[in-house]
Amino acid sequence: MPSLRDTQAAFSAAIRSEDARSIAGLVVAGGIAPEERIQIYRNNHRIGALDVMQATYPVILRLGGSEWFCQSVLRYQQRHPSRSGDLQFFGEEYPSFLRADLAGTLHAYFHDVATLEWAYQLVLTAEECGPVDLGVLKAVDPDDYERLRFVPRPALRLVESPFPIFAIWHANQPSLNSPAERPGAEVCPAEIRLDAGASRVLLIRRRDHVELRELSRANSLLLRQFEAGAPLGAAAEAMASEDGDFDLPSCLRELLGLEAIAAILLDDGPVTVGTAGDHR
Amino acid sequence: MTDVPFIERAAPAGPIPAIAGIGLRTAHQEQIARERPAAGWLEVHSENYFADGGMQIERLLDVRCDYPVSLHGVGLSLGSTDPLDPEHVRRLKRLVARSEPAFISEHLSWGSVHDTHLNDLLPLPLTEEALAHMVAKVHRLQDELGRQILIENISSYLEFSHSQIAEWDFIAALGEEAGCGLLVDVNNVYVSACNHGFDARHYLSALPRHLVRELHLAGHSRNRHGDREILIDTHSAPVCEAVWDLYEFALECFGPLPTLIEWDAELPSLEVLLAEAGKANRRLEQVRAIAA
Repeated sequence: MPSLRDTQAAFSAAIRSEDARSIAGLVVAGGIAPEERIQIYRNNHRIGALDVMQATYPVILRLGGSEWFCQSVLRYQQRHPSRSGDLQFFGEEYPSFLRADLAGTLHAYFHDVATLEWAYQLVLTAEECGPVDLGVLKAVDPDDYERLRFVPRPALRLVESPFPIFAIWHANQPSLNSPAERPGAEVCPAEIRLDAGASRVLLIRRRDHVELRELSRANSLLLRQFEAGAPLGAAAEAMASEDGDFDLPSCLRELLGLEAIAAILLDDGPVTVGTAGDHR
Repeated sequence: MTDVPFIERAAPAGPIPAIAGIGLRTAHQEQIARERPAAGWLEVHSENYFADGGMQIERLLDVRCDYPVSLHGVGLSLGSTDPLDPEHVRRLKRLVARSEPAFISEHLSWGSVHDTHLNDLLPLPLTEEALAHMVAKVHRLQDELGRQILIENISSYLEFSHSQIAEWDFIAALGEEAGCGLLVDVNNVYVSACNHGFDARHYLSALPRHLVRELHLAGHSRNRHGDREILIDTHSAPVCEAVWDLYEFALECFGPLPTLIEWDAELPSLEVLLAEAGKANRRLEQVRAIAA
């Protein structure tokens, strides 16, 4: 009698391939060929992956079309099998898969769009923390400003690309006025030139939705400094060396106005904390 | 990762009464939160609420103030020879702390081997080895959670020739030896009985009444294979008359029990879902009236 582990390994191999020979001999036919019975589970396995990926990457689905997307996801599933009983992680490697799969093709930009869509998922499910109460800055001695550290909210991501991914993402959102538009429909959006310029997209979670907006180069550079944990003085120096016209107060005011900051620390200790949570 | 602040609850964290509940599906979340319809209780797929934050978990905790909740997991793969996934257990424990569920349930199935997850509810060979393995893993999970879980029978589309134990005896033994409760999915019993040629009523009659704590009802589909038919547990249709009949028999076997209407795909309106729950409630009331 095969062991439980050997039975499960054989069944798994049969589901993940087109070859059911590893398990067919262990299956009661009961009037239906074992291969047909195993095909039911094989179909479930593939449909489950497609359902999750359609929900996670709807713009890639629209850009590539249903047939291409299906084949792409099934290849991805073979190369990056699920490592968790929780499918929310399944699509994590898809952007890097696309980068390798589409390198050197006209669709190389799919990697950047997929990166944006994965960032959307991360922002959707991130811990809630902040935004910080700016009133506490009044208590800070101006001589200490350069030591302040601004901690971005966990429910925030910055995605940068040489391609116009913000415009591409927006053009491929389903229209509330066009119920005929469905994921997978080969809709032609307004023409967007891939050489239209770089895109720096801020994704930030609001009360009941994820907001996407483009950031200026200066704001994105400052946000990256904050993400790296740089105190304000060091961040300003780094910014000045990148851009001689950098306006720190203006950029900082914009990021605070976007409610992008969860906490403000003085050296390693809190000047204040956000409404909940850990701070870096 | 931080703890979510305690939310004062209007709905008790105690047992769910013997009434019908519905699944809290994403498409219905906003409407349920806004209208607070007369649903007895709500069941969710645990994994859908594992996020650190965001609207999904916020909505669950919001409606939890008014409804008892049951957590129904699909991803722990208790029948797998791989060990319990510690991260998965940690997230489940956090969700339990956040939502104070009346029930926590999983399946008599497996879904992973050699760290590769198939994310499905796959049938076990019903052997002594598999029983011992399931008992040990259920014990381990209950120790981690500090409470009893329920194990649900699945629909299956194949049987293993080296199985040694009938499924009804297997799941009964699991309940007795592991100290878990049973969640009997009446539709799954019907589907498996049709697919494998056993008597669904015999299955239900063989289960120890004291172990059964919850019932599920769902719809299924029929697939033709030559001159044979396989029923598929799609959760995409109303409960059929044959399953309602079997449910009435289950109530005779087990008495009135919390009953969930499981409708996960091709989702109907909330009103249709509540109407299905109403059908279960009428049958529960009839059983209580007879017993009175």
